[in-house]
Amino acid sequence: MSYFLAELSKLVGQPAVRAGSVVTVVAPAVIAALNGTSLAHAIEMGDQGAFLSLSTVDSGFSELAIGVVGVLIIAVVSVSSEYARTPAALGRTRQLSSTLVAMPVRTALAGAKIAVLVAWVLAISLVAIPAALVATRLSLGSHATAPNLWHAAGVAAFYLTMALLAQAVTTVLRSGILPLVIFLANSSVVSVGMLLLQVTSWAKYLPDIAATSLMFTEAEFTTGAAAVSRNSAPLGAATAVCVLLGWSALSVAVTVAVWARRDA
Amino acid sequence: MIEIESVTKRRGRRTVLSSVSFRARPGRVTGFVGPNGAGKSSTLRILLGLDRATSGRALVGGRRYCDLPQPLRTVGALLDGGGAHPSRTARAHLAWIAASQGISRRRIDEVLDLVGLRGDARRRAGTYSLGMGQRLGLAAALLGDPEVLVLDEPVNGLDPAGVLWIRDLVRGRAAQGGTVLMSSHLMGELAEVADDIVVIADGRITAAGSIDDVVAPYGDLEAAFFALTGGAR
Repeated sequence: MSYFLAELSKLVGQPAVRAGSVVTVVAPAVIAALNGTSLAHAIEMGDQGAFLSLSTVDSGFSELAIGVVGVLIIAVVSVSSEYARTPAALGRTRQLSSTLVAMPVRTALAGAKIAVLVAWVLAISLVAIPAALVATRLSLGSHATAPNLWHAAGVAAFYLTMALLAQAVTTVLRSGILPLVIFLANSSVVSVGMLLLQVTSWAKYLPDIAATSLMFTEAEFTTGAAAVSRNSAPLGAATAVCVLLGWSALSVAVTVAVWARRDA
Repeated sequence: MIEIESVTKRRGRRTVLSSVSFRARPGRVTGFVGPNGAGKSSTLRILLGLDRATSGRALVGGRRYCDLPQPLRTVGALLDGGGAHPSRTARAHLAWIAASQGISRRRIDEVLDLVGLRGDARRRAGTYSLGMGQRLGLAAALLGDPEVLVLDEPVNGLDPAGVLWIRDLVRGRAAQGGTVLMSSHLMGELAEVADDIVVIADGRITAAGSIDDVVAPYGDLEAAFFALTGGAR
């Protein structure tokens, strides 16, 4: 428990983690409110305009996808902060040596880092998801449809899986720069999975694509604003859950194995 | 008591430490001296569980460091400078370390007073001078009020007053029966404070014993250092 409390104190004390948490909680809600207002106006005017559809079933969920950006920052910083050096004039010291001296049981340390990340991501999910769905409901007014709570759970599963994966990759690389560039570009600029889906349907088993199967209706998956693939059906819910669990288990195994075996 | 027993460390084909053995006894300050790259930090990192020995073992009070419950209550360590994240305040740095050992927050103020950082405790570690970073590292080492101190180059970056403070600290700890192992690449620095001295060069121990016994055959400290480390005058 003391390892968990220490790692929690370290994580929450990072300015980048606090900023990432704000991004995850605030950005989807604000975008959902803006989109909802525009969509309600389009519905009332009977003018589809730039919208691909006037359906409100997936409103809020497509906006929550962008919240993963904050989650990725948190996950990467949870490990990269150990390796950040002070400037040469200040001795190029790293937090890692303090961490390993204070918490020398490596598997327990890795377990604490994973548990703290999961707890923190779950906690901000519990704020971010309702915030975006409430913003959607308020902005859509009478046009709002009741949100699918399974899709809400899918968003949390998406955040958790991507967090564990980003943490594992950062652990292997011992630096935050490359993982941040790769994961943030994949989430906000161009999705590698969506590109690969044009070539092979196996890309549906990539974690971010599998997660979208849990977050959206099939119509949104194939034709909506957040459409993943126009010529391929989403994974079934049970399959998608198994795929995300598999990626999460692999990520946890890598993180624990690297912490347990590697010299500082 | 610190016991280093036949510790060998290889990295790839390079042998960093070759069957290193020595002891640091309670009630004494043991200086660990050698040129840069001789293997001082590697030995201390293995003692504290940061790196693994290829063979041999390193023990504190007869136990491996990683087997000590709440290890900072037994061993205080200064490694790699202060070891604080540059964006974290000194107080936040000490707070997570205290949480990891079940140490009360009141003790944080005590060690901040002890190292003279109370007034700068809310500044980020990245804004500290080298000497202040060392003081923060020492505050972390003293947090658990340990019997054993392991200090890697503790006077780096300290001003003369800081150097004197370190000498008083380690002498005081040893006088209370504590075990102190401190490294330096400066023989003269250790001679001011150490009872015993262990000399390392190229990953091998070349001399160990009381400082008088080690220096006597060579006449003076500088001659002893160069003779034992294979350096040229």
